[in-house]
Amino acid sequence: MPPLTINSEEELVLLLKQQSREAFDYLYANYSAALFGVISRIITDEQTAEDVLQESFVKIWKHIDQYSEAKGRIFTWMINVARNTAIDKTRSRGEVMKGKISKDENIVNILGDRSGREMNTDGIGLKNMIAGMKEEHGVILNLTYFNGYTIEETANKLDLPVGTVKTRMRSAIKILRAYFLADKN
Amino acid sequence: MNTQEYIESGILEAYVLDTLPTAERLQVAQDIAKYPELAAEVAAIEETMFRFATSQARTPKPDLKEKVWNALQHESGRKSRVVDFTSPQVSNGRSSIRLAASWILLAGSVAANIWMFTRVSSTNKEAELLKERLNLVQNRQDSLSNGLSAYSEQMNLLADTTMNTVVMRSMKPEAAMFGILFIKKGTGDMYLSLHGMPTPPPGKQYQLWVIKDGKPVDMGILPKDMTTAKLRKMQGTTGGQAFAISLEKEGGSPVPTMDQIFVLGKV
Repeated sequence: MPPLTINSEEELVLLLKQQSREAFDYLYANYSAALFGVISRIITDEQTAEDVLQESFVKIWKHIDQYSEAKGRIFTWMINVARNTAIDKTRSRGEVMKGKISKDENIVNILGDRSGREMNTDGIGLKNMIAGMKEEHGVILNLTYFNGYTIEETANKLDLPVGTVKTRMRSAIKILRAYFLADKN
Repeated sequence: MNTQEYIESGILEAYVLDTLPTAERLQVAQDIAKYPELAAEVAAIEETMFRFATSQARTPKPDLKEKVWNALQHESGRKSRVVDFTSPQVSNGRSSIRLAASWILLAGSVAANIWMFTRVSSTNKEAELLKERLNLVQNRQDSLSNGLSAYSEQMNLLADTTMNTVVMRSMKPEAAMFGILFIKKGTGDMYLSLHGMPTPPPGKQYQLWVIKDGKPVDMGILPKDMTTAKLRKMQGTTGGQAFAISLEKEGGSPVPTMDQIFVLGKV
């Protein structure tokens, strides 16, 4: 059978709704590594990370009808499913967020090198960029993206108004954006 | 609304990272749909997070893939694939419980109205009113019997072993609707009936698609009167992995509008 060509996320969504093997092959080939990368940042144990990847795929597959384009890109939806599954796993094991988060820990968490795994080859440029991020911005990204805190919870934890949390999150992501979307806005 | 201020507030970042409470999230979703500048900003944020995640990608070990596939199969196996249709209580080949109940109700309402009519006083006004009521009942009877004959036609097709059926299920969780395609084996002649699908608003029509080799192929626009259970012969086809119906502008569209797919079913 000739390989499937998919030209857009829209086509992928349509295929996923069919629940076909071809759709799964494409999904796994193109997205499993990105999802596994994020999961690995949250779950340090390899076996558990693999279990979470599997659980995430099952959820994505089962609940594809809940996704609609109005919600945004399918990748965003999938990454949030993976993140939430991973975060729920850490919570169910009773892991609690430590009191104060050091600047180094921010960098480590955002870059995900907790368990000493090999750094992605692009990692050096990324590391420098993250190091340039102000601590007050980095901590927001750390708490929300990797630890699943809502804006409210982050505001409570850091004793900040909700509005400040949002603007600092924006600043953190603007730094990522400047790095990744170089020539674009 | 001042979209620049809205953007600067960081609420869109919070939205993309899924950190907003439900009510706020729904409001932002509406705002994004309304203002293209917000949509453009969301697209940039999403692309950033996509590249961020990709830059940290880790390839899982090779044997995990089949393990995941097996887990998915196990999940799908649990889903019911049976058509949620009035199951034919085939005795003499015709009636079903629900069909019988419809007749009873119909007979009851007609009888009630005839009784009322005979007890009417001689004033014109009352006679007029009752005439009107009888008309309504007559119309109702007509449409019910049309519906009923359509159902019994479809029962027969379901029983016919020279026909394949494809059930296109609802893609909109809030709407319990479906479509059935009856496809003649060999010739590919196709008959379609819709159930529970909302009437298209003015300027819009439903369009049928077949998915072949991953690509949607136009199978024709559905006439406006198709939202009853009536069976309709469609342009036929052989092959295809799936069928779908989407809501398009009048005259149809060369490709389906993804978030306007109402029903979809695998062959």
